[in-house]
Amino acid sequence: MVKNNVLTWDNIANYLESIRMVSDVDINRVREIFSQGKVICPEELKFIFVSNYKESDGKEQFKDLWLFSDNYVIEALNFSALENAKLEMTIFNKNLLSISVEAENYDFSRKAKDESKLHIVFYTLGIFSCDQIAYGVNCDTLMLIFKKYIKYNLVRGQSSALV
Amino acid sequence: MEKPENWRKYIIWWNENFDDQIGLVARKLYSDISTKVKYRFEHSDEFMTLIHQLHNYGAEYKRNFGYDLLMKSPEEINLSIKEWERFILKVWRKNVVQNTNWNNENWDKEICKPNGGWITPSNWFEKIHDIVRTRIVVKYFDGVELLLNKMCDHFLSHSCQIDPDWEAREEGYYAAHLNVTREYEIPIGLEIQKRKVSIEIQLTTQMKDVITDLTHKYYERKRETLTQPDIKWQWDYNSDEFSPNFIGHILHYIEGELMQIRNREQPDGKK
Repeated sequence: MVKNNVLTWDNIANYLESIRMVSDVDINRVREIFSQGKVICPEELKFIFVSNYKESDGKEQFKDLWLFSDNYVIEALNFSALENAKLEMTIFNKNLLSISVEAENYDFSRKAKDESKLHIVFYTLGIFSCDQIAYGVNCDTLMLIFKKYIKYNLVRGQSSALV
Repeated sequence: MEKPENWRKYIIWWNENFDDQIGLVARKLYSDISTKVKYRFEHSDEFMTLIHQLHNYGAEYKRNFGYDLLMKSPEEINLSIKEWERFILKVWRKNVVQNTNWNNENWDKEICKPNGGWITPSNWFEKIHDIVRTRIVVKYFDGVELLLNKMCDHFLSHSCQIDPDWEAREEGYYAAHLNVTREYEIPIGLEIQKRKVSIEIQLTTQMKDVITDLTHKYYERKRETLTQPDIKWQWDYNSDEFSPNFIGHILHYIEGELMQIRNREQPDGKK
């Protein structure tokens, strides 16, 4: 996904196409958040993830957006439904208190299927939590993020507000 | 068991006594659901056609009575989300402050639950109806009823569940509230759950809107306290409530009188 180790708009456009994001409104919102994220983040952005799910009528929905650098994550919750996207950033490197992984129809050693679902939650040592879902091919992206950015960053620490 | 004396202490008290916790997860879900409900409603057929219909209702009213129905252009009607803190404050008030079954000496979760049961993170979207809300302001008293009836017909024709209510409170608050309920699909973990959530549309008059705005901050402060004054506000002319509450009642009366004057001037005595 990432050319020269830095996230570009071309990388993002390819990713959005792969998860079938076709609405110009949504795409423009992602572009806007990406531009803002580049300014806010103290490091180069390396990775993007957009959570998705399917409603009972089969309609695909996009919900939250994550941007990763080597040490930071920026989260834009409900990015397509809010009038103005709100970006929250935290350091995750060696700052994760707990992680939860839940999957359905998804064998982690194989590529995701159309009916695969993945749900990952992590809590930082502060009050920050990230809760993301993916379905279909997007599960592979979320799993990639988990392997690259999340699983090695658990540390011993004191619990804050976990509920 | 003493009543938790404010909403902040209420969260601690609740989490010590109930499994269904109020914390980060509940807060995120609140944000997800309220944002989705607002967005979906704003982009729904029933809301977008309502904006168009409000122009028609206004034109009809002007033709019949010679006055404007609404104070603002329908396009300026905005939906807002109740802030998390205000929301928890409301839950605290319903579960604790207004809970007449609470018994300090013999406290039991089952016996002391409020009428209608505890409002919990699992059911509060169904029990609190103004998470997403808006206010439509009409010029005259009769506009409230007229608009309420028209809007009920409008939302029913879009297969929405509606619940109209005439608010007339002791504190001088008068308005019609219309709750429009629909089912929304929300991702919770791997599941997509269906939740019934209401939007509250408040209908009020220009004068009442002014007094509501003026007294809003005062009521917000008052709602944050558990203790009730010893003397009823109606008998305490020095109290903060005395003037704004009575102004609310007086305005309501004056608006009714204005309607009588206006109707007398109608050429065919329309009422």
